[in-house]
Amino acid sequence: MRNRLRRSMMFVPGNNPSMIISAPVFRPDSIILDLEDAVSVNQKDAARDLVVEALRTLDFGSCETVIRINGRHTPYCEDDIRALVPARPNMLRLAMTEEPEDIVWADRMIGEVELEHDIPHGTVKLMAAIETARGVLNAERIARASERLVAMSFGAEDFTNSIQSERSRDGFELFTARALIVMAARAAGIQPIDTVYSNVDDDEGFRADVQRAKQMGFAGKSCVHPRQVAIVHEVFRPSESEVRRAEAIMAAIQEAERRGSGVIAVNGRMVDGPIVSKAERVLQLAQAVGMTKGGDTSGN
Amino acid sequence: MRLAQLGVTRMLYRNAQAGSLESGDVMVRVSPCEEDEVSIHIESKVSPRFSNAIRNTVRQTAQELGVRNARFEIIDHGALDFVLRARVTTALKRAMEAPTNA
Repeated sequence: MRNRLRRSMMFVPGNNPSMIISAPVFRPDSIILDLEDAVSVNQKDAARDLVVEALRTLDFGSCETVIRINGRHTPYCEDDIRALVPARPNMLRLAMTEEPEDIVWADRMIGEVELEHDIPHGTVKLMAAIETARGVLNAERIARASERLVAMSFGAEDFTNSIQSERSRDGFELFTARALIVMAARAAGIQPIDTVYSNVDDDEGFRADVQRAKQMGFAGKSCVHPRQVAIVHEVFRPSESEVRRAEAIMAAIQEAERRGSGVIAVNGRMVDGPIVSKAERVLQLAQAVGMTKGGDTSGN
Repeated sequence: MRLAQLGVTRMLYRNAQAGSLESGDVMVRVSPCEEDEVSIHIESKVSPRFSNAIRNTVRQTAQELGVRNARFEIIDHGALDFVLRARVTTALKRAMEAPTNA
C-alpha cells in the first residue's frame, strides 16, 4: 500500500534467523531485513538465501516487509533484486541512492523480474535511501524518478562521513539534509523516513531525536533495536484532543456532503483542504494505537 | 521451473559450508560424493526426533537444485525448516562454484 503507516521501520540483520523470526513480536510498522551493512561481504549470498526463504515461509502479520538491498554499484545489487522480487517483499530499500538514474535502473530491473515471474507490474515497491551529500542535493529529482517509489529515507552515518563531519547528539550537522529530504519527499507525494539513532541505551536522546523528526515532517523513523519501536509509536501518538477534533472535522465533512453544501466550519473555524488532510492523518495515527473505533487495541 | 523438473544434474566442485552454530541456526557442510547418492549425517543439539524431517528437507532442497551426489553433515541448533532450506541452498551453491584457474 502506497501511503500506509511507516512510523517505525525496524532493521533486522538478514543473516540472523532468530532475530528474523522474533521481529514481528515487536510490531513495528515495517520490518527491514538488512542485506547491506548488517551482513559481512562473505555472507551476502547466505543472507540473501535466508531472507528469500523467510519471505516465502514466515507470517510477518501486519508488518510491512522491506528488504534493504545493496547499492547499485556493488557486485550484489543485481543478484539481490533477481532473488528477492520473486519472493514478493512489499518493498526494496535501495542503499546509497545518489542519482535519479539509480532509481530508474532499479525500477526497470524490478519490472523485468516481475514480468519473468508473472507478478503484476508495480507489486514490489521501492524506497530510496539517501546517505551522501550528493544524494541529498539530488533528492528532489530522485523523489520523482519512479512511480514505484513510495518513500525516501535518510542515512546519517554515511552522510556525516560524506560531509567529513561527526554525528552529534543533537544532530545539528544533519539539519539541512533532513529538511531537504522532507521537502523533496513531500513535494513528490512520498514519505520521508528519518535516520537511525545508533545509541540504543540512550532512550532520552532517541525520544528527542524522534520528536525532532516528527516536527520536521518525517513520516517515520528507522529503528535499530526493538525497544525503540515503542518510543517511536508513543511520540507519533496523537493527543486525545487532536483525535476528537479530527473526528469532528470528518463528521462535519460527511454531513456537508450529505446536504450538498460546500463550505463548512467546526468550532467556528473554516475547514479547508489542509485541515481535512491533517485530520485524516491524525485519524490514521489514532487508529493504529486503538484511539478510534475499529483501531488496533494493543496500544501499540 | 525447478532444475530437477528439467532433468538437470549439477556437479559439486568443492567442499562448502553455510550457517552457524548460533541458537536457531544450523551448520550445513557439504562435499562432493563420487557415488550417485545423497548421504546425510545429522548431529542435533535439540532433539533426535527431528532427524527425519531434517533429512527430508535436505534431500528435497538438493533435488530441487539438481544435485544428486553430495555428502551432508548437519549440525542443528534448533533451526526452523526455512532456515535449514536456506542454509542447504547456500552451501550447495557455494559447492557448485567452478574452480577458477589461479
